[in-house]
Amino acid sequence: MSSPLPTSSMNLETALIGQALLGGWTITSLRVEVSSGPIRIPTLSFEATDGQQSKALVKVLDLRIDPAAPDELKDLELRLMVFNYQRQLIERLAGERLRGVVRGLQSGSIPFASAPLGRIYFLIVEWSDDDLRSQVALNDRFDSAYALRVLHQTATALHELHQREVAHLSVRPANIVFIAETVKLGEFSCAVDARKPRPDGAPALDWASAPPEFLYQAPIDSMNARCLIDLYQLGSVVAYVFSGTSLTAQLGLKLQPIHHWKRWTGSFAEALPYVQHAFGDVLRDIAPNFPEACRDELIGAVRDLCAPDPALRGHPLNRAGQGLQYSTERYISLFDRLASRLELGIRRVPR
Amino acid sequence: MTTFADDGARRLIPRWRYSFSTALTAEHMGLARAGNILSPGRDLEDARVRFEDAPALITASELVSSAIVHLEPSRGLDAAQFLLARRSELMPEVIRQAEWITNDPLTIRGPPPISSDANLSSGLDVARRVIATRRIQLRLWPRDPISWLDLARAYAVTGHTKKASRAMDVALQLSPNHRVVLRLAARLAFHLGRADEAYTHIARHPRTKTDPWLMATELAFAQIVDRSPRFARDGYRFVDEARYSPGHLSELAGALATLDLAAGKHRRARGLFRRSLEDPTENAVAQVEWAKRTEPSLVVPQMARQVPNSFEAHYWRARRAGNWAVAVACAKDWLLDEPFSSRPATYGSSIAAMALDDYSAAESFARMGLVADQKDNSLWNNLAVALARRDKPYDAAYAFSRITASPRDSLPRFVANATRGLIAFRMGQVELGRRWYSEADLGASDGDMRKLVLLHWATEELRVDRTRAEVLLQRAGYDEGVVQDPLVAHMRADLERRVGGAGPERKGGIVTDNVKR
Repeated sequence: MSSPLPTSSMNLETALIGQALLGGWTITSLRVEVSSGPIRIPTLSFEATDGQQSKALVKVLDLRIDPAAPDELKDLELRLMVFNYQRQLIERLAGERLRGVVRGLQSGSIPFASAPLGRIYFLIVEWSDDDLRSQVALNDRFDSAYALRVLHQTATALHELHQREVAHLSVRPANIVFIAETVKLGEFSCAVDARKPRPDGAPALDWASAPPEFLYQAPIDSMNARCLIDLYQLGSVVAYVFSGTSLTAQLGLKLQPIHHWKRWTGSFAEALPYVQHAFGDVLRDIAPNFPEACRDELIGAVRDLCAPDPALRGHPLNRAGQGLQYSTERYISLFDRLASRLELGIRRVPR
Repeated sequence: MTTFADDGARRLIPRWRYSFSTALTAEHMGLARAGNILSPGRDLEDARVRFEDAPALITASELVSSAIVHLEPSRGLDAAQFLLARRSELMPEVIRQAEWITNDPLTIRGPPPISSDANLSSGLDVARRVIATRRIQLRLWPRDPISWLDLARAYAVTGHTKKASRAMDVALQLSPNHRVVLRLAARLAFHLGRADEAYTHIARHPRTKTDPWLMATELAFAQIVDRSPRFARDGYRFVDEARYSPGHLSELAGALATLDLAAGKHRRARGLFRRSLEDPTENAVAQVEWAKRTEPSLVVPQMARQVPNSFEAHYWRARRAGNWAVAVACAKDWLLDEPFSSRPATYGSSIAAMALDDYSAAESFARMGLVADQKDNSLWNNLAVALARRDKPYDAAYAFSRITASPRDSLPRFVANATRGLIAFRMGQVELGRRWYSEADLGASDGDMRKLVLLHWATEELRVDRTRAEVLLQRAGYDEGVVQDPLVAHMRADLERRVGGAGPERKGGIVTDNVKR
C-alpha cells in the first residue's frame, strides 16, 4: 500500500479527532497550544481520554513537509530522530517515577492512512489544566507563600532531573504546570540527556527565557553548562513570579541596542560587562516587587541563579566547591524556608 | 603662560564619561566575531500568532517580551498598546516593557545635552548623585564593572583619588581584558600622575596587539612618557589594510598622525588625520582641530563637526579664530563634560583672564579644576593670578604658596616668577615686582612667551608708571614674518589702546594655559 505524500495541506488536526491510540486512549479534541517554545520539531497537540474520566495530552509528530526546509528528506529524518530522542527520554523519566516532572503515559505509533508515511507517531503525557502564567496573571502577585511553594517544587523537579543527568533547558512559566494541585515541570523538547547526544546537536532555546551565554553564542558544550542554563531559567522564573516578566526580556530592555545580542558583533566576553551592568539595573528595578519579609533572600537567589557570567552562577557555597555548581538543593531549602516564614507571618488569602 | 610651548603635547588619551552620558561609538562595540549570527527561531512569530488568535494579558505580555528579546519593537507595538490600555491591571515591570516598545527605542539618541544654565560646580553635584546611586546598586550587584567605572570617575571628580583608584581596581579585577576598562584604568592612572604605570599596563597587555583602541592608547602614552611606541608598526598596518571599520580605526589613525606630526612627517600625518575623520570620535575631531594650528590645510568636514560632545574641538576652533567668549563657553561645557580634567579648567581660566578680563570666571574655573586635583600647579598659579587681579593679593599669595615642586607638573620658572611679580605689584611692592618680572623676562625662552611676560608686566606698570609701560609694550612688538598667536595679538592690541589713553587700566601678571591632561 502506498502512503500519501506528506503535504502541508493535509488537515491532520481534524482528521485525528476520535482516533483511538494505544493503551485505551482516544483523541477527543485539538488542544490550542498556549505554549510556544522553540519548535524545531513540529508537533500537534490533542486532548485524549481513556474512557474513565482521565485526560491526557497527546503530542503527534507532524511529518508534513516544510516547504521552507532546504533539504526535505534530511528535515524529515531529523524530526523523526529528535522525536524519538524525546520519547525515549520521557519513557526513561517515567520509569524513574519522578514526582516533580510531567509523566509520560504512553508512546508509540499506529497506522493512519491519511497521515504522511501512513502512520502517526505520538506521545501521551499527563494532562494539565493550568500553568504558572495564568496563576501570576500579570496583575498582582499571587499569594507569596504559595509562589514560594511553586518555586520550591520547581527547584525540586530540576534537582530530580539533574540527578539523572538530564538538563531541561526550557524552564519557564508556560512549562511549570499544575496537575491535581501538584506543580510539575513539563515539555521536554529542548531537554538533553547526558548519556545520549541529541541528534540535532544543540537545541534551539526560546529567546525569552534563554541565558546571555546562549544569546551571545558562547559555547555550551558540556552537561555542566546546560545545567547552568537550567539554573538561570529557574532564577528567571523567580523574577517572573514577582514581576510578571522574564529576566531575559528585562535584560534586553536595559541593554543599549548596540550591546543587545541581536546586534552585538563581538564575543560574549566582550559583551559581558554591559550585560552585567544591565543585570544590576534589572535587580534594582525588580527588588521592590519581592515580599518585604524575604526580599533580601529572594534578590540574592535571583542574583546567584541568573548571574550573566555562567562561571559565577549558582549558590556561593556550591561555587566555592561545596557541591556541584548547578545544584539546586540549597534553593529547595531556601524556598521552603521562606514559604514557611510567610505562611506563619503575613500570608494573604489568594484571589 | 606655557600655553603655546605645551600645546604640542596634546595626545589622544581616552575620554572618560559616565556610562549614561557616553556616546556609544565603535569603542563600545565588539570587533567582528567568527561564526554565524544566532538564528532567531520562530518564537517571535509564534507569540504574534498567539496574540492575534487570543488577545489577552498573557499573550500580549509574551509578545512584548519576545519583541524585546528579538529587538523588533515594531512587531510588539499592538500588544504593547493593548497592555497599556489596561495599565491598572499590570505589574510595574510589564508596564515598563510596554512603554519601552511604544517609545521608539531603537532611535539612536546622543548623550544628554549639557544645560547652558549649568554652573561649573554642577559636575560635582552629578558626581555626588552618581556616588550615592552606584553605591546602592553595587551593594545589590557588585559584579558590575561599568558601575565601578562610574564610581571611580565620580570619586575622581570629587577629588577622592584613593577611592577612585580602589573602584578602578575592582573594575579591572572584574573585567581585566575589556578594552573600555583597560583604557579608562590608564586614563585614571594618568590623571593621578602615574603615566608610566598607565603606559606599562597598556603596552604589556596581551590584547593590545590586536585591538586598535588599545594600540591608540599605547601610542598616546608612549609619547607622554617619552618611550618608543611598541605598536606603531602594527598600527600603520591596521590602518593601511583597513583591517577594521573606520569607526574602530579613528583614534588609532589620529594617534599615528600625532606621532608623525611630532616626527616632522607632515604629509603622512595629514593623510592619517584625514583617515581619522572618516567615522570619528569627538576626541579624534578635537585632535585634528588642535593640529590645525600647525597644519592649517587640514579640513574638518561638516559631518565631523557635528559629532556630539565636541566641546574641546569647538574650543580649539574658537581659540584659533580669536573668538574668546565662545572659547570660554566651550571650555565651560568641556569642564562640565570632564570635570576631573584639569585641561578645560586651565584653558578656561587662562582665556577668561587674559582675553576677557573676567577674573571672577577665571577664579571659578581654577577652583573647580582644583577640586579634582589639588596638586595641579598650573591651576594654583591661575587661581593666584585671578585673585591678585581681583585685588586680593594676600589670598593670591596663599594660593601661590600651594604650588609644589611636583615633578609631574612642574610650573615653568618664568611663569612662577611673573606671578610673583604680579602679587608683589598688587601688594604695593613695585620694585620687588619689577625684579620678578625681569627674572621672568629673562627666563622665557619662546618669543610668544616673552611677549606675554612683557605684556603682563606692562599692564601692571600702567598702574604706576605709564612711560615704563610704553617701553615694555614696544619690546613686545610685532616680529616680521612670524605668525602671531591670536591671544598675544589680542592682548597687545588691547594694551596699546589703553596705553594710548582710551581704556581703563586692566590686567597684568601671567595666567598659565598649561596643557597637561
